[in-house]
Amino acid sequence: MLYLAAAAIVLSIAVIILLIKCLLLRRAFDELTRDIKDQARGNTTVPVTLTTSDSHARNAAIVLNEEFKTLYEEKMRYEDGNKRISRAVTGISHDLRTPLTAINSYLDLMDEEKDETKRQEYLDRIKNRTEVLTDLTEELFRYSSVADKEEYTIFSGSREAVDIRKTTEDCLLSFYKLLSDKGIEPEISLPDDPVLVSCNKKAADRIIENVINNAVKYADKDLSVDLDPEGVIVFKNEAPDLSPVTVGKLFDRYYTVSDQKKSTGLGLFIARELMEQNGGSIDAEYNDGRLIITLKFAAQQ
Amino acid sequence: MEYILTTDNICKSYGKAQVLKDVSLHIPKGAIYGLIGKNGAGKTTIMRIISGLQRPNSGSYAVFGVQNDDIIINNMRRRVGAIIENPAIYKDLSAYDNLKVQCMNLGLPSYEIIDELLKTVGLENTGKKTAGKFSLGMKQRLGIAIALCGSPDILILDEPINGLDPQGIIEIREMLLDLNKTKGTTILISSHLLDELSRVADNYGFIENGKIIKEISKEDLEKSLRKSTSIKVSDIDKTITFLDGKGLEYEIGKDNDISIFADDLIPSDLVVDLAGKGITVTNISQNEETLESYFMNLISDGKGEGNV
Repeated sequence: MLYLAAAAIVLSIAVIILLIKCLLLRRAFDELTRDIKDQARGNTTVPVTLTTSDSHARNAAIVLNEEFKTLYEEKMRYEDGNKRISRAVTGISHDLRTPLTAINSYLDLMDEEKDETKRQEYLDRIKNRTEVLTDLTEELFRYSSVADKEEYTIFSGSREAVDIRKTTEDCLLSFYKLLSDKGIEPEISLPDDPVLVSCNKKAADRIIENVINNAVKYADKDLSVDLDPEGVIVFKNEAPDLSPVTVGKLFDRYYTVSDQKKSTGLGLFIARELMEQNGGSIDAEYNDGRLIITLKFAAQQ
Repeated sequence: MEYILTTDNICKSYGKAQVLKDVSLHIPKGAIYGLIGKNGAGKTTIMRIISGLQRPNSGSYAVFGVQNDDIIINNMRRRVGAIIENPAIYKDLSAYDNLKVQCMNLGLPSYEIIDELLKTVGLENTGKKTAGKFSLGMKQRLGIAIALCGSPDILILDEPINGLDPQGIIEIREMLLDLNKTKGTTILISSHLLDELSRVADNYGFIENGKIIKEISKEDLEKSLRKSTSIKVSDIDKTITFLDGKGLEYEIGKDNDISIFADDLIPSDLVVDLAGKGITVTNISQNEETLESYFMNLISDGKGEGNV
């Protein structure tokens, strides 16, 4: 009899405990689905939160939160992409209008002009403007082929021994006219012997070109290029428009400092991708109004 | 326009002092809403009411379209993160532990978000240093991280850049812009540093003596800012006589620059007119009125009406 009573008491306690557990889990279910509609539609970023410590319920919440987060990020990216495209289209139409207006006005002038030398001069100017237009459409094409793809797949060939000194030299030479047009006398310090690093040849050309191109675009007064025998190149130039915060974003895709200078903001992004693929690194820092970009190439084994 | 947060004729008094009179705010989804007002204008009180720290005497407000007397408002409050006045942090705990406590309070199932948050606010390298030893800017940033623990859709910040150095101000500003852009967080922010506010906010509410005197979007504001033309001239006295004769409103600033307020002033006409009087114009530039002077004008207009 006594045993029976004791068993009944134990049993009822167990039932009560299980009932409480049941209630807690029911509440957890309510909490899991509390905001689920808004979360699934991407109306809110608030994650699922629980008042129970049951590991299975927590696990469910963690999985849900991860999925909602991905969903929300996708939604934001989609919306951001739409905005970016419309901005780009606006920018392009502005860029196209300037040379077009000039061409139109020279054509009008030519209609009325009898003097042959003047007409020739107008023709030259029109030619000049059409070249600008060609460059612009070229840039536009590059932009759209990049924007098309989810992830920009960059040419990636096998690594080989590259003389980075020669690459730098050639590249600086090709920018010589642009630099002298801006009145910039670059300070260049290169070692006497070739500097061999391990990198894809085309990638190395592209990296150096993009970095110098960027420097030429934003440098106003000076540019210094310093290559050491270990394959580290340091570019320095005065960059009054930048701040420590903006420098951190330089390698972001489509980040451009000023909208007036025609640029897709892809140059440094591509340079970084290529550098990383080839085992090197690229860093930017800002010091005393000067932008310092350091390229470290992987050493040749 | 989809409003994420609205208030409807909220009134609040402390004893006999009425601090809010029929305040109606309309905050669009995804906006950075700047609440502008002098000290004691009622900025903090309205923020406290929206966050549920105080009850209004009359009037109502809605978060995500849910009225404040609805039973599920507490559910909606989970979507709001706020720092009112001073950030609530445990001085004896590290930044990481402070965030962990907040995550536990919220009932988050995992603490993965903490490292990400510390990085967002730039406190990832503070290690075991206790929050009591943080600088003012670091405390403020930790406060923002705590408010962000629950990934809120609305972030309410009361004077977040008070007492920060210029570098800290830039960091907070960039952080808020980034949050708004990448996560679409709606931000309600108050500050009396108007120049700073004008760099982040895209909607404004002007509050004075507990009353909303104007709500305006950035585009509309830019349209209604007065244009001014600044000139430097050889002979100030002659110029002033000329301007008075034309009935133009002007101000003489430092270095004897004359700012003329007129929207339809054509610079070439002005220069020709002045040259006709034998005055040389050595410099000319066009500016827009600052947010600060717009605000001051707004307040004095409001007072003017009140007195008449």
